[in-house]
Amino acid sequence: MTAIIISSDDHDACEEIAAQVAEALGYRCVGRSLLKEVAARHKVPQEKLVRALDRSSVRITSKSRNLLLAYVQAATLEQIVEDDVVCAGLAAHLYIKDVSHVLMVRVLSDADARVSRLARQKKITPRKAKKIVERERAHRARWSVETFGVDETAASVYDMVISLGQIETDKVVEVIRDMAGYRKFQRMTYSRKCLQDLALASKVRAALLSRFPGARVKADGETAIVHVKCSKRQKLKIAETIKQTAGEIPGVSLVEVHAVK
Amino acid sequence: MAIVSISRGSYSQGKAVAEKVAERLGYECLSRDVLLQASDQFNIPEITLEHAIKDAPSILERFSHGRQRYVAYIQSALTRNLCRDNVVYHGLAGHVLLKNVSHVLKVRIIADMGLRVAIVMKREKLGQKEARSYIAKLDSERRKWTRSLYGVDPWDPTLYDLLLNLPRFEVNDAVELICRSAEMKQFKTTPESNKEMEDLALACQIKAAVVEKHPDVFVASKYGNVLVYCTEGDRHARKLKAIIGELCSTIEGVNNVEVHAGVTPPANAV
Repeated sequence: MTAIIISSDDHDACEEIAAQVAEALGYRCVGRSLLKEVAARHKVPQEKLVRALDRSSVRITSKSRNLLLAYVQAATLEQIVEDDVVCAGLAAHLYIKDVSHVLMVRVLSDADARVSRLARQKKITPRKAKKIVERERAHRARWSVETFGVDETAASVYDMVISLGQIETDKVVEVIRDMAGYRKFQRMTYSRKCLQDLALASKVRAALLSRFPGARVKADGETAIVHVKCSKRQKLKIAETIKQTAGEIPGVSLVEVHAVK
Repeated sequence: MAIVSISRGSYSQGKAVAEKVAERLGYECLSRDVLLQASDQFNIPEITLEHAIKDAPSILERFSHGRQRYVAYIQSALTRNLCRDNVVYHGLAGHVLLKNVSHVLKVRIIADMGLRVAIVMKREKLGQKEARSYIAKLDSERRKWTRSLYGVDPWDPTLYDLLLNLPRFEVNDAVELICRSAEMKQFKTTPESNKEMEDLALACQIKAAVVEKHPDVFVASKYGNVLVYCTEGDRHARKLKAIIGELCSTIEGVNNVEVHAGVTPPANAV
C-alpha cells in the first residue's frame, strides 16, 4: 500500500506515465481533472487554478496564488491520504514531506526530443527552442522556491530520478511499478498518521488563508496548531475567529492558536 | 552487456552499491585501479593523481595546466579499460566523459545529510558539527572540480539516466534497480556504440600523449579519423601535426589525422 507522486519537466509525459503506472498497479490516478472539483467547491475559475500551478503569472498576485494553491493542496492530500493512488500534475512533490510510504519520482524528458518537438510546433530554430526549454526549466525552479520553498529541480527532493533520454516510457512504468512493492514504501501506522496530519493541516490552512494570509498550520491527530502574526491587542479576537473557523472542519476537535510577531 | 558508470556523493554508500552491482552482473568493478594504471603508465605518483581528481583546482593551477595533464592520464587509462565492456566504474567524472557513449548507464547515488554525517562520525571519528563541515567541504570541492574541468554541475540530475536517493532504498533494492536498467536493450553494446567507445579511448590516448607540451589541445575521433584542435596559429599547427602523425603511426586504429588551428572544438572533444 503506497502512494506514488510523479513529477516531470514535461507535463504530458508526466500524465501519461502516471496513468500507465496506475493501470499497472490497479491504483487510482489523480491529476489535473481534480481541479474541476476544486474550482466548483471554492467557486473559483478552473483556469486560475491551472495558472497558479503552472507559472508565476503577473495576472495573479502572490496572495491569490497562495490561496489557490492551498485549495489544490487540501484537495490533493484528501485524495492521497486514501492510499493506492498515483498523483501527477498537482505539485504534490513540493508539499508532501517526510512521509515514508509516499514514493516520489521525477521523470526527466528527453531534452533533445523535446527541443525538436518544440522547434517543429513553433516553427523556430532548435537553438531558440533550446533556449525556451531552458528558460522554462529555470522558471519552474524559481516558481517552486517562491511558492513552496523547495527547488523542484533538485534531485534530493525525490526518491528516484529517471531520464527518458535513453530509457523508454514502458520501462520507466515497469520500474516505478516494481518500486511500489519495495518494503521501504509500504504504509506503516506512523507514516499514515503523518499523511493524515498533513491533510488536516492543509484543510485548516485553506479555510483560514483568505482572512489570515500568513497563517502557518500544523496538525497532530485531531489538534490543529495555528501560528499567526498579530499584535497583543488583536490576539484574543483573532484566536477566537480562528478557533471558530478551524473548529468547523471535520476531524478537528481542538485548535491551538499562537501569536507570533 | 553494458558499462555502468556510478557517480556518488561522498559517504553515500555508493561504493557498496557499485561493488554489489558488479558482483550481481558478473562485471569487473573499477575505481582505484584506474589511478594505479595511470600512475604506472605515465610515471606519476598515485597520490598526485588522487589529489588531481579529488581537490578543486586552485587559481594557480588553472594557469599551470598541471591538473589537466593528470586528468588526461586518468581518462586515457579509464577509457582503455572501458573498451573491454562489462564494467562497473565508480569514480570521479566518468559520467561526464562518457556522456556520448550510448551503452553506458549513468547512475548517480545520493544520500541525505543525516545518513552521511552518521557515516563520517563513525568512520572518521568526528563530532557531528565537524562531520557536517567535512562533508560540506568535500561536496564543494567536487562540484568545483567538475565545473572547472567539464563546465557542468555534478549535482544536475539531467546528466544521469538514473538517480537514486539512499537510504530511501535498501542497498539490495538499489542494486536490483541498477542491474535491471543495465540489462535494458538501450544499454546493450552495439557495433556502433562500441566504435564510439573505441574512438573516445583513442582520443584520450592521443590527448594524454601530447598534453604535457600542448595543454590547450582538444582531440576527437570518428571511425579512427583523429581531429586535433589547437588554439595557436598555423605554424604551430603544422608542428603539432608532425608530432601527432609520428605518434599515431605507433597507435592502432588511427586512419587519418587532421589538425585544426583556431577552430572551436566540438562538444565531444576531450
